[in-house]
Parts: sequence; structure tokens; C-alpha cells
Amino acid sequence: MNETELIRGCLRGSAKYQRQLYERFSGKMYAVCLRYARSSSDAADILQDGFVKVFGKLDQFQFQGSFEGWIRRIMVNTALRNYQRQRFDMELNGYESLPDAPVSPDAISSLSEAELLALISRLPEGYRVVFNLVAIEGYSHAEVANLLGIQESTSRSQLTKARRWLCEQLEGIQKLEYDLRKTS
Amino acid sequence: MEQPNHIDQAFQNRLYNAEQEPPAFVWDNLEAILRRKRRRLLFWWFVGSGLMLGGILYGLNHTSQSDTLAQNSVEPSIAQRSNDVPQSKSGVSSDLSSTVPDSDRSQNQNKITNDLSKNAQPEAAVQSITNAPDNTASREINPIVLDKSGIQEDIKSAAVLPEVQKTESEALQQVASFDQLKSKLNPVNILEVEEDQELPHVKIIRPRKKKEKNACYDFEEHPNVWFVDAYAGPMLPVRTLSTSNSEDLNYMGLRESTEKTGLGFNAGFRASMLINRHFLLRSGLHYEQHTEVFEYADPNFVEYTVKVRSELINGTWVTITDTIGVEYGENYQKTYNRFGRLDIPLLAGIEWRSGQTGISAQAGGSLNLLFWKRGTILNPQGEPQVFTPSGTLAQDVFKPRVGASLQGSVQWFYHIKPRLRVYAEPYFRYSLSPFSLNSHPIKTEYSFVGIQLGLTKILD
Repeated sequence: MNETELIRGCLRGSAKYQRQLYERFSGKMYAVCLRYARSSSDAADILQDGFVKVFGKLDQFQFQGSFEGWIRRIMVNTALRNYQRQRFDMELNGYESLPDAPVSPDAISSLSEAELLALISRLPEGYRVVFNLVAIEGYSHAEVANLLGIQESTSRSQLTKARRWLCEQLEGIQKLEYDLRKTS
Repeated sequence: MEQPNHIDQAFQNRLYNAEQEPPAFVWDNLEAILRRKRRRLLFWWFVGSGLMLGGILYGLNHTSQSDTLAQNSVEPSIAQRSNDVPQSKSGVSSDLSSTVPDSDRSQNQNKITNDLSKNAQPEAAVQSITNAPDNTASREINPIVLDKSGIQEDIKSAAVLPEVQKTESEALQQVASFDQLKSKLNPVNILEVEEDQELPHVKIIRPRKKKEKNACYDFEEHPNVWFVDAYAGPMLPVRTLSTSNSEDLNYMGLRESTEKTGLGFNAGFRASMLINRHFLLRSGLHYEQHTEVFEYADPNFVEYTVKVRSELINGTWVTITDTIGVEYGENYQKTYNRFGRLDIPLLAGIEWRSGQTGISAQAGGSLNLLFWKRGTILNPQGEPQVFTPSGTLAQDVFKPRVGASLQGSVQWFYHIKPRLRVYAEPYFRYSLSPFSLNSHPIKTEYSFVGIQLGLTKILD
């Protein structure tokens, strides 16, 4: 079944087509949600809210461009709204200053997707959102500033701090793996 | 755009198209939300259809009323014209108030007769006479109307002519007899005269249709007609649980003590064919929905609260589960179980009428098209478990469709307009097969008692 048939079936309100659409995209979209959420239960909430919006706004899809991209934007926006709701909480937690760490991206290849997602989920809230938007989704700092209602400079600084934090973690992993290999 | 550095690039390559299996409950929740939306949509569809049907019925009815009004409006125009005829010109308005010499009477007799036939409106005549002076000079009456044969005889027989030459007061009294005359004139075409012409152009005014004054349809004239019904009303399910296995009696007792049937509703559309004035064939779409309340308190309920987290220990991600709380107590659960059915009834009946009211009795079968259900009941192990077909770990309790049922009803109706009835129709419906699956230990059977309150439009 092609995408157009799937969308038209959902527009008719067919439960069967809705299920198929969910099954086709839920895996990728859940991974997107996991990157933005603080926990897997938050991610599940975002996924559910996102799909409610997808089915509710399906008639607004113009059949131009990628349908997956359209769903992804809805998921990202839903995740951001969720993030903004929890912002106060995040501000209470505060950010501690992070030490500089050497960049060692090779460690990334040794980790599975689930481990990388888990690593990202451990990023402090503000860093995580900016890192996801800029580094993975490809948004510009101006767009991020507009979306989150922050200064561009804040977006840049949070991205930098996120990278440092990730590099520090990856460095630690790399070191541990090296030690393990050495002892074995 | 920010140029991605190699860390960004590495993460993007690995994660942009990453997939993770979402928890199963997300789809269950989502499906419940979508189902609610669909049901809301269905509800508004029913409301919209009902309003549309009501609008159509009103429109049809209004159109037939407008036709009657349009026909009625012809007569005042004639009356108006007769009033507007100038004194200098001959016509009934002035002629009635004139004193006609005896010698002219006989020769003008036929002419007057014709004039009267044109102005056969008592109101117009009264107006003309009232406005006329008492001592108006004698005038010659010109023939202005040519009429169809038969009119003169009618008028003569009504004995109007001799009275025309009398005084105004006498003439006024006599005008009342125009009512009788009017009824005689109605069946034929009346000719209307252009004012300025001696031999006028004539315009045919269509005879007025007989107005249905009584709010009752003429079934003698139309013995075979179609009815369209739209109805809704309350409904009460009568549920029977039974089991053939004595071991399941305890479970059946638990079911009976935890489930209560509640009120429901019915709604639908129906088309009926009246044959030979009295016999009916009816079919349509009939929807019924009812609610049952499931209430259960588990006295031995224990709830554990756990915290699951991942930690990087010695380079390996480890999932750690901590039990952070245990609660003992009674778990109370209340669920509104809902059952909806869409059926096609096929009924035969007979109708008796008396004036504007009447009754009909009908009976027949009904075939189930759709049976949806949602809720929770105890499973044979005595634990609450959903039976919604799409639910996670749902137990199989009910059939996908519930087959045929027998139905009988008696309708009382009243004609509020000739082609529009209101009615109340109590009905009883008995399902021929149980709603539960044969594999389920408890047999669940239903009958329904309800009342349909509706409108019937007669189409001919």
C-alpha cells in the first residue's frame, strides 16, 4: 500500500489504515521523541500526542514533500511544547558548568542506537533540545531561538555545552573500553 | 545554518533515521482517543442528518403550503380590480349601486349575470356597494364579461338577479348569498376582464385546488403512498445470564453482582410503503446503544511502585529496577461498558385511521449490521479484564455481530398537517441468538424495550 492510499484511508476514518500508518512511522517517531524527552514515559506521551495531532491534521497535508518529514515536524513541535511546559522545572534544576573534554567521536560508532539515545536522554534538558534541533534535525540557531523563545547566543552556547558533555561521556566510554581490552 | 561539526555529523548519521519500538500502550491509548473522535463524528453525523431530514420535510411541507397560498392570492387581485374600476366605466361595482329602469331590466339581465359571475367575491361586492352614493343616476350596464356556459344558470338559480335593482341595504343583505354562489363558481374557469376594453382580452385563472382544510391526508384518493420516518427515543435492555455448567455458577453470580444494565437510546430512519390504504411494509436503519455499569472492588490489591533507570557501569549500560513503594488496600474500579448495534428492520404491518389520528401495528425481523462494544468485566478467574476487541490482552466475550432478532411494535400517530404526522411507537425486540461467544462460559442474551418518538412525512 502506498503512502497516498494510506493517507486517504486515514482521512476516511478507517481504523485499519490508521493502525497501518502508526505502525509504519511510530518506530522512527518514537526515536525522535526519545531524543527530546527526559524519560521513555515522556517520550511515549509525546508520541501519543503527536499522533493525535497527525490524525487530526491529516487533511492539512498537501501531498507535497515528504510525508515522513511532515510527521517528524509535528513530533518535534509536540516535543518542544512538552519541553516548554517543563521548562520551569528545568530552570529549577539549573545547569552546572561542564569541564572541557577532548573530542573523541570514534566512540560513537561503538555504541548502539539505543545506547546513543540513552546518552542523549541524559543530557541536561536545555542542551538536549538544542542539540537535537541543531545537530540532528538541522535547524539553524535563528530557528531554534524563534522556536524556543531564547537568544541565538544562548542556543549556540547550549549546543557547545552539549557537545562538550557528550564528548566527555564518549571519552569516558572509550577509556573504559580501552582498559577492558587491555586487561583481557 | 550552523555548520555541523564531526560530533554533530556522527550523531546525525546514527540517529536521524533511528527506530525504536514504542510501548504497546501508546497505540491502545491512541486508538481509544481516535475511537472517541469517530464516535463524536458519528453522533454529529446523526444530528446533521436528522436536521437535514427535518429541513427537507419542512421544505416539502412549506412548498405545498406556498402552492395553496399562491392560489389564494388570485382572488384578492380580482376583488381589487373590481374596486378599481372607475365610475365612468361600466362594471359591477358601480352597477350594483345604480337604479336600473324597469324597461332596461330584462335586456340587461344577462349582462348583469355575466358581471356577477366575474365579480363573484362577496367582499368586493360589499366594498363597491358601500362606497356608492345612494342616489346615483341610472346607468347603462355594459357587457364586460364573457363567461362559460353554465354560469348563468347557476346564478339564476341562486336568485340574485332580481335583487340587484333594490336599494343598497337590501342589496347588502343579499350579498351574503354570494357565499353559496362562490362554491358553485369555483369548479369552472373564471374570466377576468381588462378594464379599458369593451370586448376584453381575457385571462384564464386556474381553478383553485381544493384546500385540505382538515389536517388529514386523503387516503381514499391515494391508497398507495410512501412514508418516511425519523425517530429517536429511550430504550431499556433486558439482560439474561445463564450457564449450562454448574461450576460456572459462582462466576455468573460475580458477573451479576458487578454489572448493572442501564438506560439506552434508539434512533433511526425508516421508509414505509402503504399498500391499499391499510397495509404497511417498513424498512430502514435502526441504531440502539445502551450502557452497563461495571463496579468492582478488589479487597486484596497490592500496588508496587518501581523506578527503572539506566546507568553506565564499567562501560556497560545497566538497567536498574528499584522498588520504591508497596501499597496494600482495596482497589475500586468503575467502568461504563457500552454496547451499540446498527440493524436493518424488515417489518410488515397494518394501519387504522380515524380522523387525524390512528394506530398501526407492525412486526417482523431485524438483521444486525454492526455490533460494537467497549468495557471491562470480570474474567472467569474473577479478575477485571477488558473485552474491547482491540484492547490489549482483551478477553473474547462477545460476538462480532449478533445476527437476527424479532421485533414488534404498536404506533399511535396524529396528523399535525395533512402530510405530516407525529408518532409514538413502543417496541419490543428479542435477539434470537446470544450476544456472547459460544466459547464463553456465561451465555448473555438480550431483549430490548423502547419507544420511538418520531415524525412521518407522507410522500405521494
